[in-house]
Amino acid sequence: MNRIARLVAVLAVAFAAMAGFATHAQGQGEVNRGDLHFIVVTHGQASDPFWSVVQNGVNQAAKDMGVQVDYQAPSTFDMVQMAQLIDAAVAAKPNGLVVSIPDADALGDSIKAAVAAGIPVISINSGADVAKELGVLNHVGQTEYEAGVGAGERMGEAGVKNALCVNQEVGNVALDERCRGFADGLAKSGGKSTVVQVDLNNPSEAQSRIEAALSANPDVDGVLTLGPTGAAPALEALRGTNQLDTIKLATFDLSPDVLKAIAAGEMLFAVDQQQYLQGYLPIVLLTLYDTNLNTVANPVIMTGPGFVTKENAERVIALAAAGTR
Amino acid sequence: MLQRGTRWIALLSVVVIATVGFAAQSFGQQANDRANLRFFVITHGQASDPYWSVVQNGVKQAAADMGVQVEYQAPRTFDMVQMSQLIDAAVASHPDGIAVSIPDADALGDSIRAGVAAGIPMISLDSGSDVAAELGMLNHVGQTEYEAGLGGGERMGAAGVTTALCVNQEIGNAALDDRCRGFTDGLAKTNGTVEVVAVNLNNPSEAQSRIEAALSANPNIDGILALGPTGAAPALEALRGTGKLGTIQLATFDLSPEVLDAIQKGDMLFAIDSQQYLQGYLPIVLLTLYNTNLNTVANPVIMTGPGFVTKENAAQVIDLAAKGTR
Repeated sequence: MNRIARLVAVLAVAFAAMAGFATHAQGQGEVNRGDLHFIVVTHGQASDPFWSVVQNGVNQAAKDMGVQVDYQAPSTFDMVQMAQLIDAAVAAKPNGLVVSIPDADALGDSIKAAVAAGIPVISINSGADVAKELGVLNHVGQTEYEAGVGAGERMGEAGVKNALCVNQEVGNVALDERCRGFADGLAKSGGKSTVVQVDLNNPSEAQSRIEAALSANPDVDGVLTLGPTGAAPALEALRGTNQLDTIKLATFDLSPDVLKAIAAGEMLFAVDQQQYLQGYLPIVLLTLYDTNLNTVANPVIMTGPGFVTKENAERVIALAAAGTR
Repeated sequence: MLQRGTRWIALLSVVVIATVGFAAQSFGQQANDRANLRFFVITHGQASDPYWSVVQNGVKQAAADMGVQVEYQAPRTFDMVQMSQLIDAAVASHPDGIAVSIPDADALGDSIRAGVAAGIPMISLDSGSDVAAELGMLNHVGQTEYEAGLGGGERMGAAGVTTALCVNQEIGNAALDDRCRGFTDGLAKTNGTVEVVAVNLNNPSEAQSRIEAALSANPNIDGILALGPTGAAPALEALRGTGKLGTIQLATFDLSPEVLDAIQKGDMLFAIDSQQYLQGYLPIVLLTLYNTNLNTVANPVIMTGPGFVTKENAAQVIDLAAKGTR
């Protein structure tokens, strides 16, 4: 080797060592929150009232933590487009990624690629059952069975012994799990629950079905519906048969009509998954991970069941108007 | 019939009452002015204790992030009477939230119940996971012994350990027994077994001899879990002395400078970290979300551990420990 070639070689080694050191120091040194950049990719459009609350949680947390966050979602429920958004996010090498996982088959490869690239990932809303195997740090959301259990316990406390679980999609695992949890929760105080199948494409027929179930079993003293669209015919059935005072009605999820009925004392409670937290908490957790290597050991951080009752319905109505519930 | 003047007074009183009522209601609804939120954190650990100073640093950072006021208080010594008086005084000042550690539910239970009865949202941290729900806490934020041991066992199993010792310096102390029990169950998931070794850490050289004796009595042993840095030291010496540092995997509960150093060098496999910074930080976030948005998290216990410090992240944790956040 001549002198110049040796000098070049030495310089190259020194340069490589310096570059390596710089990368290393960046990994260990003080993390400036203002430099942290997170990307949130969900399957819900921001125009959807449910998802706009999630997005408001993301925005508030970004402000509180002093970090930069981009919120993205496909323009329709499109898993191919969503996988592409995740791939593009991974290519941008953010300091953290938050994803909802409504379809692990369609999104799994993209999420695994993010984890393999060393990006801390947290899942939200959908995907509690696959989060761990995909390698995400935590899942933040409501799990169906546990939410049903909570509803059953609460109905039991209100004295309900014999309930109906009004299911508009028997065979849909998520909804079946709600009814199964509800039965188990009610069993803790010696109560039981029977599933009533309805077709919500035909609300008046659904109402008749519920009325028929009530008259077939006069011992029924509680009804749980699996969403506001199921709560409406149940409420009509109870109003029509003058049983609003004697049969306790509760539902999954909030709507203006549900909140109004709770405030008026016509419904006992709504099971609320508090999706604001599904936007807010992942940003806090990713910030704590990036700045302090902290992790929370619960595989699932449960944003629900939260309960809206007559006691807090007015406040929740005000908060819903502010876009955070 | 009332005369005109009296009617006016009656009408005015109704308006005034209605206005006051409305004001009270809107105050309740607009507690979301974060700067007006005032929380207390009352723990049994002195801020001069290095462990608790990390908790306090978590509290301070969260207060800055949330934009709320927080006062951190602790008795000067481990004094449950004084601690219950601190809780009573905090409750009397009607704060918007209290975070409290519960090392002794018998001594503190009445004061805590009084806070809940006064409508103050409360969260427990560090100690008290087993009594938190019945005392009316929104959540407990901490590490539970059994689950932490379980995580330790799973991780040792993943490292190929099949026969391990659990070095227990206080047999009969339920918390430490639970750690060994969890460890046993965690290792059992990969068909490993655990033998508990009782040691007296007041006499470290005797403790070291005990560990050495247990190792020579069972040559199949390929892993050791210590229940704290004071137990890790004699275990480390025992392995060094018998030339088994590479072949027997050693891990411990909790961090110390010596433990972090040993992990970084590869002399220890991992430490189980309860990440107490989160025990200070998260309750302030949760109380803020409750006050401003009525949000609650449904996990009875938010588990700050087990976190794991390994060779991979030890250098970073050493840096963070120097800054007081680990």
